[in-house]
Amino acid sequence: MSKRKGTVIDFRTILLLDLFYMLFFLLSGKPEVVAAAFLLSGTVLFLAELYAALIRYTVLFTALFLYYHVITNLRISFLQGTLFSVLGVAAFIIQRILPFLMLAVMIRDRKNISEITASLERCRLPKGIILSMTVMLRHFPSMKEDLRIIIEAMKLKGIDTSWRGVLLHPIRMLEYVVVPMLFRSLRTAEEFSCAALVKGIEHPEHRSSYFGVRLRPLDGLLFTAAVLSLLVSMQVHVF
Amino acid sequence: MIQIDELQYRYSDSAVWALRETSFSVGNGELIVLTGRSGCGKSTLFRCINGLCPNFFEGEKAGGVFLMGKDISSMRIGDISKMATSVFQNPESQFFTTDVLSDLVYACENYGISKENIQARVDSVVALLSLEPLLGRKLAELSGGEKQKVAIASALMLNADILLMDEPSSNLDYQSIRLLKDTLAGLKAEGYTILVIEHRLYYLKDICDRLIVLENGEIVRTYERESLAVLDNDALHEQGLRGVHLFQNSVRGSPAQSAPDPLLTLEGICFGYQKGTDILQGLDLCVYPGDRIALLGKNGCGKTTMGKILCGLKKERRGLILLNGTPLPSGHRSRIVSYVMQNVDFQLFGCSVFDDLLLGNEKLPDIEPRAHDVLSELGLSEQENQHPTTLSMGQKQRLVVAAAYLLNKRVNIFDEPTSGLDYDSMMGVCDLIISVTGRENASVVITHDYEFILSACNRVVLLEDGLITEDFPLSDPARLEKIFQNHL
Repeated sequence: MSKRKGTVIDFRTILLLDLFYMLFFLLSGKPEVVAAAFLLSGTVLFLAELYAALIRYTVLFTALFLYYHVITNLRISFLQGTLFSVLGVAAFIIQRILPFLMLAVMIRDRKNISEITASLERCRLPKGIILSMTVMLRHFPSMKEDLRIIIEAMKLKGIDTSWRGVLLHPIRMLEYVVVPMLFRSLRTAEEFSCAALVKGIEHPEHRSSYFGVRLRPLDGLLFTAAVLSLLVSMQVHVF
Repeated sequence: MIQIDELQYRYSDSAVWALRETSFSVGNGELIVLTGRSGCGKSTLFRCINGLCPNFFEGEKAGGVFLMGKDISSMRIGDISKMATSVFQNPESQFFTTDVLSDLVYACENYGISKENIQARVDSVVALLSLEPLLGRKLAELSGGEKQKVAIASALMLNADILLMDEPSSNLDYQSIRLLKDTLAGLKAEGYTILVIEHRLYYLKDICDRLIVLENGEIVRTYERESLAVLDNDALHEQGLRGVHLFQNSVRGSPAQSAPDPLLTLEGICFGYQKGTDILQGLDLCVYPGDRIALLGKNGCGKTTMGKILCGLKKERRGLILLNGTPLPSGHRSRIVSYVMQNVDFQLFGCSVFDDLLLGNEKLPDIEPRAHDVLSELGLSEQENQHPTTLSMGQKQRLVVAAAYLLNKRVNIFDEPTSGLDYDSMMGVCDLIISVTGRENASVVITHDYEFILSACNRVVLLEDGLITEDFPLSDPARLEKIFQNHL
């Protein structure tokens, strides 16, 4: 059997990177820390062979990073207006979200539920939590599809689904989306849970792994690089 | 292999027994079909055998279920699955992964089976079901029939001798059902014991050993395979069941009469989801008042896309749609054309039936008395204050159609309105379509249901390679049968 593409990094390493980012973003909001987190996530996408996503996120991050840098440091007079400042705040926030999103893309495209469940089990999490997380992760793509159908149904009903409609009646729009979504989710969760139960998700024995879920030297290397680069980024002043 | 002894079951939130003193047995290597009207207790029986009742769906149980001589009452669901494995109605909701291989191995991993042992099972199941071409593929790329085949393969990975299936054909088209039939015949030949809960019976009549009919939680009739061959469809229809001879049904109404002027005209409609690849390639069609069109075609050929273009959810790349000879822009089409989705639950937004009908129409003159009239006309008056989600599937479809009545929409599109419905419910949908169409309006029904087409439609249109390749008034079922055999 041929090796599956770009699956070299373990799911637990990705989870750990997420935790590190949160910790270091809380300890220091410096641009150097954000840039280090972006570089780490970029490395993950590169190792996962997700080159198109890497290019897309690099362009977006660089644009946001430069824009925020120009707004805050270069003091160009016409960029001091309210609109540019608001956009600057948005750029500041999105920059900090992008490293997480990049890791999420890697999980979405390169990790199957089998590997994720095995990794969570190795973390010695209780079965109940693993089952909930498995059903939740499995449910996300269905939710996206359900949302698309609900929006189509709203259009058929003559409900204004444009941004104008959302801004004028935000609560009503939320109700229209959330109510059918909740009823649908109840059913979907029930179906997934039944399927999971008959597939032995509650079996008390230790789970095996067909895809060889284990921490490799590359995971250790990435982990060390993450700790070092985030620590160094807290100390240096580049931007 | 399966022994059911005076089994009774009542869900904890219900006062009615879903199953009443049901007893039957399934021998080694037999394929038994269990059928009955919606709500007769079929699915409850399925859940009692695989342990979901009472371990997941709580309730009161009496009597016994024995698998291979063992009482399962104290067993966990996972332990029962090692003896009797389950395949559910919708293959989509059984997949936990995104590709075929990882889905096959998922259940084995849960049981802690070693990698070498899993590999041996993969090899054996792949050989048994000829899955080699699918092995490296993503589940999203597969057809409905292929998905159901993978769902069966994943179930077989547990090495159980008994296979339980709950309405496996309800989401499948004609070709996929043929594939399912071949798969089941192959498994039976290999010695598997199979219990299939099903509404559609035609594909099982040659391969099953017995057909058991449930009514109100009790077994009322059992047919042996030999008697099924000579059983008349009408005898089953009287019991609210689908026929066993698919191509022995007759056309219910008269064929479509061509009116002088078309209500809706589609001229050179082109549409594609990706640049350079058009799914609809210059489609031409005239829809006349009184038409009840069965829109046929293979899965993915663009039937739903065409329906969405007609009601304005999608905009054509090129071409023109005319209403009574006047161009009808995409943005205005939803005022003229209604669309009843396959999953009608998504189309209900109000907190009561009446409220749902008013939604989006509040500014129309005399709307409230008219809404009452429409609900009364469609037999929904008693449910006016109920929450729409509490309605039956047929009532939900009628509620969506009620809005079309209220706004006097001229064309109604129904997307697979009968998937998973028994004969009585299917005839309810037929009556609804015939009554909303009348002589002035038109209906377009996207469907793969042969029995339903003969009962509800008066014209057949076949969509192939982005164009209409067959279009004829439905007077003789032979031509429709030919389309099913050769084009679907």
